[in-house]
Amino acid sequence: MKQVSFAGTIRSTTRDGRSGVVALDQNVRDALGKEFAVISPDTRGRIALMNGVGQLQTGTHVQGTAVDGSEALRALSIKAG
Amino acid sequence: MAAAYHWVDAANISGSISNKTLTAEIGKPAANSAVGKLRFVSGAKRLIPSYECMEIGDIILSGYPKKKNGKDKWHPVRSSQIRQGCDATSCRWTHAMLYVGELHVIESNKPTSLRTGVTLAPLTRDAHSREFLILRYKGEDFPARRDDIARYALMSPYLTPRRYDVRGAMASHFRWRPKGADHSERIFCSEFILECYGVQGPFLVKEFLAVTEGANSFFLPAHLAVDDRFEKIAMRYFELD
Repeated sequence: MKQVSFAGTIRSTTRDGRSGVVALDQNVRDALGKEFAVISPDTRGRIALMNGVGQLQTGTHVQGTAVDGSEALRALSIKAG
Repeated sequence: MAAAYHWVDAANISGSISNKTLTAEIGKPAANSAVGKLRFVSGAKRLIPSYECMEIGDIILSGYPKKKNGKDKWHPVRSSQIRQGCDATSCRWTHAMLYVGELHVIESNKPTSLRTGVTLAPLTRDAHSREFLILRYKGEDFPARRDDIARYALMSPYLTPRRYDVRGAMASHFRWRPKGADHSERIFCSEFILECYGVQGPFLVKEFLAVTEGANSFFLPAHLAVDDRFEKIAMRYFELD
């Protein structure tokens, strides 16, 4: 599976706030043909985004690296921006 | 007159297995847990689901066998699925579990026993009374993700205990959940599977978003049963000597 860069906005989080779905920016969608990236508890860089509120916040714009999956990107690392 | 309906017969019994072999294969605690939950099935057969046909991360659907006349038994989840407009033949699958290996599943179990909510259970618990269908995701990246899906599910009952979502299950009957699903304290079986697949796959992401964000949207066992992204594999059994 190839590694790619992505950017998008956190659209939804799980109840524990450690995971979430990122709606990819339009240019990333066009380039990769995928709509979403998924942040899991294995994604690096989440802690910096969770600090202060204790969970990922919807509406936060993030960028990072991911592995291209069959349905969506699987985020390996993220940071705000 | 149509032939009587049998859900376990020579066609889906792989052979026999001794208690010693079972213990050697899956370890004493798992074997004890599995055998301890066995009941006698038609003709005093003691059935062990064949772990040779299951792989970690597989979804196991269960449902009550049809009556001898071939008709489905009434079940509240089946009734809800029919009301949701699900495929009629798939509505007989009324529960979904995630196989985590060693004949055990993790599930969000209905409150019919003391152990309810997200729990680990031996698959043999229901082998005497339910039919099973194995679903295996077809995506080429699934083999690399199956262990992480199971790990996410296994950690869930210890890190974030959740009860079975009775209200959600009832709401599916009336198609009424205007604010989307809130899985913070409760979750029902198929939506628990959806979360595990969505977060660690990532698979079924659009369905996961639809359930958590969309009004009056549900993800039920029958939805899994008709999903073309899954290979459907019939369950096979060993007879315990």
